[in-house]
Amino acid sequence: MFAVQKSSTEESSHQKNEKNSMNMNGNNNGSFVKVSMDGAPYLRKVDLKMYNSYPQLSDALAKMFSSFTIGSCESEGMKDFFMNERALMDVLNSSDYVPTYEDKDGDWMLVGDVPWEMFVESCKRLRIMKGKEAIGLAPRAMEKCKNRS
Amino acid sequence: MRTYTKVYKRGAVGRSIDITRYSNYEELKHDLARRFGIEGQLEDRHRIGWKLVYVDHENDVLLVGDDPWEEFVNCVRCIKILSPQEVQQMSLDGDFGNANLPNQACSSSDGGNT
Repeated sequence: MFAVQKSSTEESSHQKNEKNSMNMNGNNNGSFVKVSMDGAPYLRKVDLKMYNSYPQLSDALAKMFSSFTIGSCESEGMKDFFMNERALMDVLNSSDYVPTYEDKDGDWMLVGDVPWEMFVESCKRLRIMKGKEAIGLAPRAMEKCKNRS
Repeated sequence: MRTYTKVYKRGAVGRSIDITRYSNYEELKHDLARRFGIEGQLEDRHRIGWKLVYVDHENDVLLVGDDPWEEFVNCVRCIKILSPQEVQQMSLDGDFGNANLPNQACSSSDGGNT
């Protein structure tokens, strides 16, 4: 019997999966991918099919790794990134974290460019990089931001 | 041939367990906590506390509990019990990205190759 807690901060992906299994549709075998965050002592796993959008995923990741970030601004920065691409330049230039993923081709891509469903299909692994390291990773995204501002 | 999974805890003698003897995470955690004298401390879901992690077949260190149980059994190679101090220490040391921890390598108990 699982201990039920009000806060889902440390709840494992497997526990959440068990609770929501009734709500899942069709041929859902789960889509578990590893999530690493630069500087964290261990990896986690998430089931991407548990979420319906980027903001939902970013919320879950922020909670998962909140104990490893120094101060709350890092996880806030990651949420901002999902919500608002103008924040991307600020995030990349600061010490905040940037979510990236390895796709089916083995390429490391910036999270958020493609429609959610397409992302779930192609994401094999997530890595939350420190902003400075991600600068070389997403030249297209930086171009997009320059054009907007 | 049955294989055993090693369980490490700093400062303690290592143990070997037959992972197929357990049917879920609760049984595993309960037994490991008992064996290592930290009863009740692996159940806690507090931010700061003892953590049960494992090394998988890809040599990544993951928190025990995220995967469906059967998946975990298939890919676990060894298990480690981390004290709160160790977790904190590893967080501070891990600034160089996906760290390959010096004490991460685990030998398989069936004498397999690395």
